[in-house]
Amino acid sequence: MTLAVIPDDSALKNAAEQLIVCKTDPDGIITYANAAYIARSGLSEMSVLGTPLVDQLHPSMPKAIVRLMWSELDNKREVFTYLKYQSRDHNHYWVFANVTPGYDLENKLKEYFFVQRNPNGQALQVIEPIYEEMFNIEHAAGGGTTGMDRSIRVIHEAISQLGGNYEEFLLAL
Amino acid sequence: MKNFSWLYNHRVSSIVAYTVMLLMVVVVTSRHGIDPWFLGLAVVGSALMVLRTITIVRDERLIVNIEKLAREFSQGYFDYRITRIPPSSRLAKIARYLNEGCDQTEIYFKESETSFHKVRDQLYYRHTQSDGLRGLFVGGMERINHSLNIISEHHKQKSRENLRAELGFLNTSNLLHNLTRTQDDLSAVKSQMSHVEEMSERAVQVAADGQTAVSKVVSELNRMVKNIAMIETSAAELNQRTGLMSDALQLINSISDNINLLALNATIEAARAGEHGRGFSVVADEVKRLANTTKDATDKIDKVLANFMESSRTMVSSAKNTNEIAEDTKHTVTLFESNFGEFSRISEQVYQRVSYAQIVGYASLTKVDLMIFIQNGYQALDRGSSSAAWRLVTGNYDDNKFVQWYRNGVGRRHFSHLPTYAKLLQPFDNIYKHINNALIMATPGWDYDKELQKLILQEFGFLEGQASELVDYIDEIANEKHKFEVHEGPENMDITLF
Repeated sequence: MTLAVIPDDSALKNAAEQLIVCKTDPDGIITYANAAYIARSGLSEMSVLGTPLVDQLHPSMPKAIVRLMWSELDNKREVFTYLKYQSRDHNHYWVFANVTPGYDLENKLKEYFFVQRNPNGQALQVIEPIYEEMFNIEHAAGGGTTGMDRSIRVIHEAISQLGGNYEEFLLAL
Repeated sequence: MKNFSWLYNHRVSSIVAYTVMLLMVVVVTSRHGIDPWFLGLAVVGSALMVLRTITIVRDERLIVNIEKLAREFSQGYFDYRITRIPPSSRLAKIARYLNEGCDQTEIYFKESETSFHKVRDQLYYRHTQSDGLRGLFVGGMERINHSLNIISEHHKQKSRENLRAELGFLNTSNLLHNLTRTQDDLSAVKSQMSHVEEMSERAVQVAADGQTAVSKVVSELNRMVKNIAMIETSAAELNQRTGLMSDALQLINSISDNINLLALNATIEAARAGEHGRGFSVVADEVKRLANTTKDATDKIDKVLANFMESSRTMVSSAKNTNEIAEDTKHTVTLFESNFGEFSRISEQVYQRVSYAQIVGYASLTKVDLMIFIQNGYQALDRGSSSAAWRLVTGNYDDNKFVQWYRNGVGRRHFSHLPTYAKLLQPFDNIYKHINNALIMATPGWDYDKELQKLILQEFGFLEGQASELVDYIDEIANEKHKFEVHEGPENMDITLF
């Protein structure tokens, strides 16, 4: 049973309108991926489930962005972020993700809910060079927290130039 | 039917079917021997039955998951999803549709919850993201966005009004306070002025009295001149009389000489007594003539003495008169002097009062200028960067009216030697700085940014504090000026201050 699920409904096939949805447990391990997610990854549902979400991300994703995402979620805040995924055929695809933590009735963290949309080209024109610069800084620092601490400044500078906070910055793109 | 319901359980029915199949193979084989066709068909049938069972078991698991999702959904939870969906299953489509439905519901729910939360925290930029939602959810999201906009607008409006109200309150209370102080200044000026009026009336009275006194002195002096002329005439007369008196005395002297001679003749004639009686009668004639002459002389002396007495009396009375006039004049002149003294005292007091009123007036004008500057600050915030008020308060520091007053104007001219002068500029600098700080923060959208509003309000609070400090200093410097220059006189002040 390694066949990919291709949604057969015509509405689901329209990539522009698709929501790429997945859920992870508190450790970031994928527990659910919708048909669009499976289709985009080019993998089967069985091979996606149980793997860490970060493993699905493209190697050129700045680590500082991922760290920022988890730290915001740890603070019980929703996160908007641009994510670059790697698909099976070594291609990549971009999403504009909204991530929210989910809690059970005892208010204990249960899961993270990733609702991911196709970003507009204009936003990517801004984000791609920033991510590239951040990745290069991290790469030059040989990974680790020092690289991340340095690379995060790039996006902070971009935000301060436009005014507002991280979320406003991303939503305005 | 109810008694046979267990037959519908797929496990039991499968076991029963397999058992019946096995029994059939055993019975047929034992009765008719091995029939390859029969056995072959039996094996094929069994295999199909196993496949069917596998499908049933798999679908059964899917059904259990679908049931779980449906149950959770019915209880108001939609975070559960069906995973590991067998693609070939008849139920796969249902499971996927249900997952998508739960995705849509959860997104709708979380989106609306988050955006309302953000609006509550005054973060108005977070609109619901309706991309990718379907059907009624799209319209719902749009309506939520619409409501959020209304709520946001309402919040903004309210927040704007709150700030205006707070600023207005801050402004009005300080303005009232400042106006009261200006009113105090003006009533001080008024009271000084009414004193000045009283004094002027008194001065007019004193001047009139002075004039009367002067004319009195003039008439008295005239009288005195007349008297003195009279005394002079009397003295001349007296001098004349003195000549007459010496004539009379000479006459008396000659009489006395003649009497002596007569007495000598009489002595001689007596010696010839009896013989010549006629000679004695000549002596008698001579004595008679002498007696007449003496009588004349005595008359003359009497007359001279009478004249002399008359002149003396006139002189005494004139002198007395003159003395009296002199006494009067002395009194008038003393009065006149005291009038002039009072006049000068009044003039001094008027000068003091007017000077004080002038100082208070200067101070008051400065305070009013300051108030106007601050009012322009409030107006600039209200009317925005294109307003005249904005240009005025953000204008060049060096061109500012107060700064000019301080550096080159009335402030420097009249107050720069006083101790408090040095303290005046700092609070004004702070006021200027706080107004400009507040206006820098008044970027578009400030009127609904709580944080910014708080900071702007804070700046205005600071500047009002500085303004009241500055007004205190202005009052203080006015007092210093009054104390050092007016009450104690400029000489004293020179010693203390320079």
